[in-house]
Amino acid sequence: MFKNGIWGENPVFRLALSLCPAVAVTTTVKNGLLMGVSVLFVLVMVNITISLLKPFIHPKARFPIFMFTIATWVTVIDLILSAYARGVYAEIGLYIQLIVTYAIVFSRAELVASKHKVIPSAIDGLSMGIGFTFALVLISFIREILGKGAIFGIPFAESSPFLLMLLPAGGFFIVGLLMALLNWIDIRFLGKTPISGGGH
Amino acid sequence: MKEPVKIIASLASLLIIVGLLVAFVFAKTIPIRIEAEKREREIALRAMAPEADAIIPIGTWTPYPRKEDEYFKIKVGDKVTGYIISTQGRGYQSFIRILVAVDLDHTIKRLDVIWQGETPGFGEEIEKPKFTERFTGKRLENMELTMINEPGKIQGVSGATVSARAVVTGARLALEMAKERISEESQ
Repeated sequence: MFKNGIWGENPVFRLALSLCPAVAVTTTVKNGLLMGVSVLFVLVMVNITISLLKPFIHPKARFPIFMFTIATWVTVIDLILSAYARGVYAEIGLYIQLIVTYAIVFSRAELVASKHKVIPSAIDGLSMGIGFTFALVLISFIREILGKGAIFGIPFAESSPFLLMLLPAGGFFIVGLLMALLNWIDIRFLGKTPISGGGH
Repeated sequence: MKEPVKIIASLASLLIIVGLLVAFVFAKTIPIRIEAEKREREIALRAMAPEADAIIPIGTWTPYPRKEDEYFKIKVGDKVTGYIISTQGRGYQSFIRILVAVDLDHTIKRLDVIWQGETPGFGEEIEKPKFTERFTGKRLENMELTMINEPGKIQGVSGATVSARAVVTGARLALEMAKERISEESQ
């Protein structure tokens, strides 16, 4: 179950969920990492809260309750980041607030947390969160090298080697190529037929 | 109990709990945030006039409708040696925040871009000294953007024309305000 979110059902590369942040904030590894960790935090906390509240949630009112819970934890991480990580927050603050609408958080609350006990739900959130962080860091690492000419914020080139990679279009190229690479690895080395994205 | 009552009760109790949680986090983080904002402002202002003994706020003005900004006087000893004006410029997709330090005769001593939310990869060019240094020694009549290097004007940045123009406009608004207001105000 734990490996599921990182490889088999990676939110970005396999489920193709939450591509907006995967493209929008991944221009430097620092931004990508912080975004990934924020989503990880929200996923784990939301999954724990929903599975704890499960007996009290009226089935007909579950969507507003999921929304409230997600919005609460997003507000919490937003306030924390705006106080403690101001430099990065200035760049990606807008997208932190948008975590409320990320399909990955909502779908885990509905598919996993509202049906399972606390520990499995938390593990699922952790696994999905790590998978998401891994995807964002990988995308931003490639985009930072190609677009900014820097590795982990340390520049090695005077100007941008391939400016397109910093723009949203470049982000989509990288996401697509990585998706293809992961599917190719699955077919070539693991002998599996890969599941395609957009399942839910 | 009737169903609607149950739903309302469960939503209301959840809202109270999450409200308390958010309030708690807000109360814990707000002092740190205010402190950090103050410190950042202090550092930015200090960089504008490293020789200053004190930077004292004079008042507020509005470069754009509903966009309030401050302006300050630079004091070395007892003498006012210049002013710092916090201004803004409407860029491609954000309001660019700029600080302009001017002499008593309203010549730009230094210009810094404090914050910009322009297109990544292009917008950063206007933050670099390579661009901001072009303002040093310029006056209100020089605040015009050109694409080629013309003396007495500000040369733009290729790929970031709109952002560069926004900085020039912000600086021009600041200098116009300085001409109008600061000259007759108390020194």
